[in-house]
Amino acid sequence: MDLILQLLANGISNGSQYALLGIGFGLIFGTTGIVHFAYGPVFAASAYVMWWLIAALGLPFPVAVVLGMAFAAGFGVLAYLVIYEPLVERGSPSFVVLVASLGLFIVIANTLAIVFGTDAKTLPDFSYGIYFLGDVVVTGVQIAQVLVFMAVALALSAFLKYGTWGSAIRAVTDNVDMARIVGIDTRKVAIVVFAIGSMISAIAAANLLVREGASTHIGFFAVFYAFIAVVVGGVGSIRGAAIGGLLLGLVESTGMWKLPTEWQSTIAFLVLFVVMLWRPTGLLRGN
Amino acid sequence: MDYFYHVLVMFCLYAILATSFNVVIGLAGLFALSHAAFYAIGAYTTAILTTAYGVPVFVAMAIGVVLTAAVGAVAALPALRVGGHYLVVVTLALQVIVIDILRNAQGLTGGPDGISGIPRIVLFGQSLSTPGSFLVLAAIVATAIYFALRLLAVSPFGRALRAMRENELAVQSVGKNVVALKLIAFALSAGTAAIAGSLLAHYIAFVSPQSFSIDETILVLAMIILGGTGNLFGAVVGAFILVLLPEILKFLDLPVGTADLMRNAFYGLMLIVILRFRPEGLFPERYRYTLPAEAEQAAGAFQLTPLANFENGAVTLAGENLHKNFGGIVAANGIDIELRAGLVTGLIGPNGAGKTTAFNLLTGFLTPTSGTITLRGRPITDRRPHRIVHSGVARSFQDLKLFRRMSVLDNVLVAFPNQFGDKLHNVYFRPGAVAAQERANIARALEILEFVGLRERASQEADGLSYAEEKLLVIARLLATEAEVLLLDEPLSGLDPNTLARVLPIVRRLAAQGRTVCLIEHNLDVIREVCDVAAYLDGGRVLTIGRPEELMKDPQLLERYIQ
Amino acid sequence: MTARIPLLEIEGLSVSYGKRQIVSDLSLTVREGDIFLMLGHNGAGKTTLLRSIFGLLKPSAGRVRYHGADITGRSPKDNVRDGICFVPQGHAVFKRLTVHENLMLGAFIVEDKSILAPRIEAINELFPILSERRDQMAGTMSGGQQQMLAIGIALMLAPRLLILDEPSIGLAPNLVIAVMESIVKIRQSLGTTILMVEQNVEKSLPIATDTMIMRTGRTVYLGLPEGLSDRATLIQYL
Repeated sequence: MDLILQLLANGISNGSQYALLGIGFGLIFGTTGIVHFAYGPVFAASAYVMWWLIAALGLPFPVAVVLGMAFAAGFGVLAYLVIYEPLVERGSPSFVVLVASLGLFIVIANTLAIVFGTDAKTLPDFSYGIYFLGDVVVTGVQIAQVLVFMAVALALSAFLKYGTWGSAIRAVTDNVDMARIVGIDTRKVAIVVFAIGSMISAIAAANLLVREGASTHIGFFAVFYAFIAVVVGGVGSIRGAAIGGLLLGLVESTGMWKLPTEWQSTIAFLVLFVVMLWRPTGLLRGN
Repeated sequence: MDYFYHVLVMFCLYAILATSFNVVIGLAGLFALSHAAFYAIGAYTTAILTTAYGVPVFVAMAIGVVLTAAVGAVAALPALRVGGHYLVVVTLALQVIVIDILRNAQGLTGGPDGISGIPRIVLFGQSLSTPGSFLVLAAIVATAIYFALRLLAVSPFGRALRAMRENELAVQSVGKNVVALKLIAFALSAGTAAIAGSLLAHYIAFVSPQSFSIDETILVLAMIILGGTGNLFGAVVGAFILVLLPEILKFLDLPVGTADLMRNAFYGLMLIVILRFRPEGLFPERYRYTLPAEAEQAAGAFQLTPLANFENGAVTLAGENLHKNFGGIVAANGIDIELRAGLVTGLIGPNGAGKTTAFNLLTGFLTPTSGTITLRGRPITDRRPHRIVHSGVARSFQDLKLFRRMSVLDNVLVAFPNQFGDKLHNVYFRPGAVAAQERANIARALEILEFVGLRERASQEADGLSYAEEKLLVIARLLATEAEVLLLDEPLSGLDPNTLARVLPIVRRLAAQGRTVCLIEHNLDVIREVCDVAAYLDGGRVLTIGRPEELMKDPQLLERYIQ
Repeated sequence: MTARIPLLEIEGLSVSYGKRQIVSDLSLTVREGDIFLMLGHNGAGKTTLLRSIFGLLKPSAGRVRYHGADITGRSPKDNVRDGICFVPQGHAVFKRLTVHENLMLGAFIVEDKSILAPRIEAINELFPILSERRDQMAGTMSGGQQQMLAIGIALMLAPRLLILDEPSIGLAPNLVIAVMESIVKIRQSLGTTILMVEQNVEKSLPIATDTMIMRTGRTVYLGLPEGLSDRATLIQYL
């Protein structure tokens, strides 16, 4: 019983991280229809940048996070303007845009490895507390991960619901043609979602930096988990991406009950495979 | 010199990977990202079997190929239901899982350290332990695979794959089984990748998970994009360039790790540049081709194949009390319709009346919520579309659904029934029969194109036709199915008087020779001219059916229709 | 309507999709206060024509003038600011947003949202069902209700020129009448000029002040609706 509660707590914490990655990726994918694979390396790049700001320049953590978010936003928007937009404008099939994003993915990922080396970069003397909830042990980072996800999710929902840009984003997600017809500048909306989505990934990157540091493969797994969260939850729904991510975390962690930890992504894959066969449009968007 | 041979061996292996990946990506248009995983399964299967169980090398390689093909077929399962981005994420997950298993199943795969001491291949008493000796084998295998896949690409099977890439619904409407096409394409592509994998294992006598990461899949993808998607020769050239070019980095004085990273970054950059400036690749897929002279000579005047037993006026295809609901929307509300041999039936009615829905139900593209469909009295209600085509019922689509990036001739050829070459085993084991039938079919296709007035367009790309020509091609494609019941969805709308004057006699002639014809049309003049029977549909059901003149005398009906 | 000042002038417009020409050298003039009705079969090019007028498609040749100014190929965003609104075919609403959110998006370009309350009220008066369903998801309403919402969205800007693509498509007969009546009311109360594509000749012809019939991208009839009152003439053109 204790074990189950512990696994549940771990699942919610990890799931929050996946959900956070998922809403950022899902915002971009749902609004623009672009499978932004380079989301992963942008996430990784911002982790490295934050690490550099803290370890080499000695900036305080919060300042580094804000700068890291700004960096990610700029990087994401640049990717859209330089790589994706010209292809989309030309009317390229989505396959072409997808391959271009894979190209960008390996360019950034390998450049990062050249610049920062392939060893893991961890923050120097960053300590966090350990808490006991009954018999369940949680770390401060785990709690922070859940709180950060909730804060970002709520802020994003509020922004989408009440802001002018938020309503424009929802309009484009719902029906691009109609959005254009009522006079929404769809290009600006794309730029905004690339900025916001990338900023969200930078927040997730800060979580990871604190928990285990930055290393070469974090980019791929970030976009992989984000993509799965979005597809499982249903494309075009922020709530879906959040639920998909949490579900992924929970399934993965309850799987640990009987299986050794290294089989985590195996379980994630199986969940995905079953969901795809059972409900190709995701869990939330039926019919 | 060994170094040079080594580079060439790697070129051979990547040429195998690129051509086989191109079958799925370029020919079938299925965007999967798991090719490196198939490469890995092939390599590890033979590595494990030969080192741990002492299985003879060639037996182990064969088992690896078969096993990988089976995994490829499983990977295709989601592709049967989902396409596009979903297939990408599922195959990506497969890639991750395979690498995971290689890393984690220590006992079986050696974990991150991999498996070493894999025996060399021994051929004619000689161990292929040097790059020079292995190159001979690798080159032979790569060449054989290239020609085998090329044979597939130009065969009727390959044509069906490309047609499926162009339009999945239309390819079913000419009687192809898309489930089988996808499963075979995936299995074949995976199995071929496994050949490259098993060669690699015995070549370097060592396998480890690092050789099969997602980067490897992207590298092979880059080769295809550079060479030209859908062009197998292009894939080989792409492999050649991308294997050789980064070797230049070796001459710079870089640490080994950095050189690898720079090479990968270079692949990515090249992908982006190619997509931006030459998305079709160095060797674009060719849609036109020169017609074989003997087929040109053999082509005579088009004659419809006579029907064995037809009885003018007998009911052929009938739908009884067909209902179809989508959620709350009622698309068909009890359609009753009987189509008769030798007669042209016209369906009229306002937009949204259920005319196209009726076609979709009758041809298996929609399954009715309730009601029965019979062909010559035998129920065909639950049959899948391609089976209904095989039973002799074919349809066209309002939005044409041509196979655009294929030649006009291929658009017709793909529709012929009972092609030997649709079966892969015939392509390889009865090539003579396939070729003979293909020659006859080309002659027949040219006759059909002549008949509809498109003969001189035969070797052109379908995408370049005018609107009227596209509509004529749709009719040509339908004729090629040899179906006895033909359902045409707005074949005449938007046609100029000249083209109309060409098409109307074709429709009449079909009926005169015992075909059952049903067409959807808005223009009452045309209905009067070409139809023997007209059915008026509204609100998802047939309201009246009768001779066109009588129908048009009904003031109430006219009132409703003219609205 | 006595002014008869040209509001929208199309001169020699041609539009192509890829290599296929959909609209060929087409000219027409919509005058202030008109209900200009465009008829024709499926595939005649009516929708393509409307979309290229509104800037959703780029014409390959010809001019579009609005108030005498050349607006050929101008973006929808700028057209909307200039008082031109477009209702595309087939339940053109934001299906996963509420009715109220849909209406507010209609006035997306309006900075000062406080001026919108009276407009919403006027729209609710025209289509009372929309105020009843204020917080319902648009996609869950019936086809007719969605069509009213689609028109409502366009009315949020009190447009000078309203372009409608088959507003009656897929609607039950009584709803068709309701939609046509609302179009007449819009013209009366707002002074909006209407350019409309329709297939429902019977219900739309009586409200039209000017008519055009298209066939394969060309005009086959251009003139007063009275010229089509005779059924035989009408059938000849369709």
